[in-house]
Amino acid sequence: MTSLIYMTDSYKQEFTARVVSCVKKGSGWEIVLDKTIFYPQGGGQPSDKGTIKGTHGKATVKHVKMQSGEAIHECSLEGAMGQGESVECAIDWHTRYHNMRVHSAGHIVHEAVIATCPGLIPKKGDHGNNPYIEYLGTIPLDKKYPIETKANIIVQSNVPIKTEFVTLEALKQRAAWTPEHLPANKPLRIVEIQGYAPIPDGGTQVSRTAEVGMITIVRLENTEESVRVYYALQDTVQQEHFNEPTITTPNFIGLLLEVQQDALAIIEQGEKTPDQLRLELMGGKSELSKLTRQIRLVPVADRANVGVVVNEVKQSIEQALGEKVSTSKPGFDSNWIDVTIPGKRPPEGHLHIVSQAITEITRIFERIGFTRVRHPEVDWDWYAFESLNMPPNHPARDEWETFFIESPSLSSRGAKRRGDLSSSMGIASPLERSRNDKYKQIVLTPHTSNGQVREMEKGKLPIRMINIAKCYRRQSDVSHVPMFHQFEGLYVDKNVSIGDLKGVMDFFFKNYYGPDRVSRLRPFHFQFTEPSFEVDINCGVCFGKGCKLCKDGWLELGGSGMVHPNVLRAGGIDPNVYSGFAFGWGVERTSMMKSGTKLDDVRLLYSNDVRFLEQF
Amino acid sequence: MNILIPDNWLREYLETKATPKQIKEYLSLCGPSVERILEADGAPVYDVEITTNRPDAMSVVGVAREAAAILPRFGIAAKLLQDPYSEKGLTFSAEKVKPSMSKTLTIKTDPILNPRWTSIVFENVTVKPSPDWLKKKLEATGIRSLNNIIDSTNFLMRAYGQPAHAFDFDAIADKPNHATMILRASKKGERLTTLDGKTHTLPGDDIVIEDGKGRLIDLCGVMGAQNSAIKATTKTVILFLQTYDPIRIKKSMMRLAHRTEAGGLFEKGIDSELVLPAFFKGVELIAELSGGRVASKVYDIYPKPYKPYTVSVARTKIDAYIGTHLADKEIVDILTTLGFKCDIVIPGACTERSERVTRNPSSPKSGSRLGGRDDIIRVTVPSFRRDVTIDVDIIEELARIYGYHNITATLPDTAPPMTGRDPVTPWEEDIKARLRDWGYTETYTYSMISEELMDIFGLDKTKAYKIANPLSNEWIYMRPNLLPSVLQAVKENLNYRNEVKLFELSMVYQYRANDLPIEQPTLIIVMTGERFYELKGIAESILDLLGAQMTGSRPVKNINHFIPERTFLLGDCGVVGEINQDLRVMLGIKTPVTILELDVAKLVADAKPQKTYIPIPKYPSSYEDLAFILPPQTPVGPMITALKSTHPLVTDVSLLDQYESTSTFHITYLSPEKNLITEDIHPVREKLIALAKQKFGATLKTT
Repeated sequence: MTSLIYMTDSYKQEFTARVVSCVKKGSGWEIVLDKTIFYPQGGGQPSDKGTIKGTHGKATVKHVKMQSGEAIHECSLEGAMGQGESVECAIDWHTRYHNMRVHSAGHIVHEAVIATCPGLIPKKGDHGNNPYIEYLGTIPLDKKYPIETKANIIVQSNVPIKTEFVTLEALKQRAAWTPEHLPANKPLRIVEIQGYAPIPDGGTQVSRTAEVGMITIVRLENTEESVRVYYALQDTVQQEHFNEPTITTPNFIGLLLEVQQDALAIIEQGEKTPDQLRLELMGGKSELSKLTRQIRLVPVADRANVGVVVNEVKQSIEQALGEKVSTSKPGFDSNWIDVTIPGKRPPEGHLHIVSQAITEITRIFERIGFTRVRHPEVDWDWYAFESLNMPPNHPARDEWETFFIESPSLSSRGAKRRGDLSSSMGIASPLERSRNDKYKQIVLTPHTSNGQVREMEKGKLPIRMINIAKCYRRQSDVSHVPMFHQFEGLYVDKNVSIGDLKGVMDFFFKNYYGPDRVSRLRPFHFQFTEPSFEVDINCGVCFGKGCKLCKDGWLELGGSGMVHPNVLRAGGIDPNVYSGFAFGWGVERTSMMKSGTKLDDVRLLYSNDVRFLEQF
Repeated sequence: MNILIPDNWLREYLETKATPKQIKEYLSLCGPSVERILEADGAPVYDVEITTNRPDAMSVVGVAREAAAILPRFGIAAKLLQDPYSEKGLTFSAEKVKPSMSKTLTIKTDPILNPRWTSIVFENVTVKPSPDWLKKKLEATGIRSLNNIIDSTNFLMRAYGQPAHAFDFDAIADKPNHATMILRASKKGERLTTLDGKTHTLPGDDIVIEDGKGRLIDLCGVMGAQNSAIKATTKTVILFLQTYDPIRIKKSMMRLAHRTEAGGLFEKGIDSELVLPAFFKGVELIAELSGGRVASKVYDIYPKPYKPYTVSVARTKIDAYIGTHLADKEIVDILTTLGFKCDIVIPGACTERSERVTRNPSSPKSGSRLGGRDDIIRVTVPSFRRDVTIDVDIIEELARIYGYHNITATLPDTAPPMTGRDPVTPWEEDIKARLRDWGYTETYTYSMISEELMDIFGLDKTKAYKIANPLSNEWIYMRPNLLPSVLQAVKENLNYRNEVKLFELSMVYQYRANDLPIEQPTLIIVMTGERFYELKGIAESILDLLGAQMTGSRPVKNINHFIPERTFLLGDCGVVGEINQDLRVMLGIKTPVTILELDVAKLVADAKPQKTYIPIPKYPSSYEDLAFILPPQTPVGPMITALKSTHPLVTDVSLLDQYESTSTFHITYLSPEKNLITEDIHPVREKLIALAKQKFGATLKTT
């Protein structure tokens, strides 16, 4: 049995002993002494190193182990060493003292853990290079900081750490906890930090807690059944946890909580405005951001959970900031918000440019007593042509590229048409034509003028209508589409004058195009009006000077005129009593002539391309 | 129709100091539109648009006559020169043409097809290039110079608006010094090669001339035949000017797809009284330019000469139209410069119908008179203005020369109009504006869809309106449904967007046999994605807006193209649902698409937009949330309805949340009479729980 001097005097650095045996083992030597100050590996503390010097040789102790009560010093040997020889021994005090401090720190941490989380059962400890204490059970991660605080309080209180030998029985009485399988037949050494329960221990200890120095709880590592509390002496803490290729999840969370703790403390200090704080604590250069960026070092499986904690941390900081705002001191402007940030918009939809124009046109005419009506878009030829003073085969019909609807009765109609050929070109008596005669050919209305006679047929006078509908013509190019919209104005009353027509036009133009645009009427010819006018508006680009868009400063808008007596007759109105005016223009064209639309291809309107539609 | 009028040619018929710019501006305001001033050979040329009713103005003389009437209104003196209708025009100088009578023509014609025929034969003609003055004139007006004979006929057409034709006499002569010309309607299938080398098979009923042996020598009014054309070697020429039945000319050109400038004049109707003056001018011109000698008599076949007619217009009507009172003298001046003659009839001075007293308006006695209330202006229409047939035609002449720009603009000042407003359009505007504000974008797709789309969507082609003369295969049928075109638009937009939210409110055209379609304003909203609840929500909001009641149900039978489980019928007003996979595959749309379709007219018909006031409650509402565990696929809609009607204190029930089999309802309790306390609510809650259990097998989830 080697006598273990370090058990009673952990501060002894040199001594004299006698060699019990010295045998070669492998490449080295194993030396047993009668007594030793070398601490053999065990109890979580690394073994001591040092030298043994004899008369004829010198041994360098690399490691010491306990075997059957003998402390075996594993050495390299220069020279020779004989049994019974007296030798001078010295331990590597620097390492030993460090090991002692680490070991004692472990006990201090243990007390801090138990004080913070009572009920944990210690399992084992390691006081080597990566020291920890392991317990059965779990420790909430946010306890890391309290444990560290508590441990350092113990350190700073600088209380004695004492060791003594007791019987097992006495140990069981005094200790808070005893490991199983302790030998009952010999004295057991215990260590006791003053003020805390003794604990069985065989290691070397410093004499007072302050010798340990400040302790850092490196991380809490919860596994399935147990938890490890990693700690370190602050003077030896390695700065580069993050240089590790991976970070264990608990460690990462621990760091997060640390950041949170710091942040809350800074907020509490309250020297800065909440917005400054927000930038400092949550901004791109904050500790939190730096840490959050390290999340990729966390095992993939855990990242989602870690993410949850990140959010919780952010929320708690945010909340603290929020509270800070509400309680912030005078001098800070609590009303300050960043008014330069783009606003939050409601959902944005778009009306088609044609719908917008129709609404605008309708509103303007409503103000002078015109009411919007609706007449068919697919109609009898009679309404689209015949009743408008254009009998079958009238050359004026050619001006419209009309779509006809196929119908079974077409063939019989064809025969009828040939019969009409030699008849006179005027409408003999449209009202006398039978319904069957009138309603044979269906056309897609090439203009909204079919609404004229239809409105007259309602039999209510005076009429002031605006008929807006789809129209169809067989054409498609940059300024024509096969489907478009027209608005048809009709006014029928007694004593209607060309001046009235001009007034209504002017009212519309000034309201729709603006006061700086002027219009003019030019003589023209339409079958269903007499007199007929072409309406021009001065060009909104060159204002009459002449440009490539217009004809010497004028843009043709569309036709108008005084309702032809034959049309009034067709609508059952006596032209000797009543007169009227009418006009019919394309919605698209009218709209495109507004200054500044810059639409150069009408087909775009019907492209259904949302990239176009969303511009209006 | 646009023609080119060189300024210097115009001034041969118009004496004026007006500048070209003034001519352009003032003619446009009161007569034919001078669209722009071009330049030929350094001189101005007017590009003039003449409306189809005014063939008389489609010539240099015609435009000059308009200018002579218009320019003085702007304080610029102007006078018509060389009026073909003046006495001087109706003859030619025998000295210049040295007539002999060696050639004869046998002519047969038809007064309906050919109201007037004139012709004459020249001999000793030399065909050669025209002199420079003629070449330049023609080229400035857009006509290519060919030779002296053809150029002379084209000169007549441009100067007077009277087309002319020249035949090679020898090419059609059937015996020495004699040719036969028979004008008749063509028979279907007859063939003829025109001057331009094109051979036509005639559709029949065209006006043609044959040489007596069945050979066609002219496609009248359109173009001469190659077999009788003037050649470099031609020595004997027939000059030929006529008028034709306009409708037949128009039809021939249309059916043969062969338009000529001459035909364009004939189809509008040419003045038969102009034929002879133009003819005489032509005789002189050909004699002068070709050295030819007149070798026949003048053939002028004109069985029904023009008889001038009158059109009367009431003074009061003129004043009403123009909105001001024109002096008698002004009326007379305007009409006279345009070639009309007029009398002012004073009804009070009438004793008998046949003895109306007319007054010479230019006499000093009546010149200062303002014109009586009941005066009638009786206008004698010249032969070249046969477009004037009724009183308003006269008013047009007066108003335009007076100047539309001189008429004061007024707003109608009358009784309240009786026009009834369309009930649907205001709602359409409202619905569209809301959809815009809810983040949807409006589009307008074409109303016409292709046959292919009709087939893909299984639409009945026999019950749809088909365009007889379509412009493209894409546009054949008037759509009976908005779905095809709108889905097409979605597909195109998915090429550059991941998400599409569109709507359209347009007519669909519902078929009715032998009748017009029912035009039904229909709203369609289309969203990519599985957005059933969003679109159902839109439907609910729109119905609320109109005050219409939602009586929805699951479809009893499948609706084409919809996923049955994800479709909901909104009574007979519409449907909301998700498009099925089959259709999407056929259209090539990869993402799910949800549709809401509403019959807007039907909704408006059912609308009760009048809101009724409900008194504001005096006591506060109580709320509680009840969570029930429901059997799988229990419809919650009926459950809400049932819970709502359980007890008068339950004023509202809404679905708060659904998770797995648990549905949580938000219950509002309210009494108009008192503050509710726990004891009031307790029995009601029990009733709700009992009902849920009994009717829906739902159990209350206790926490």
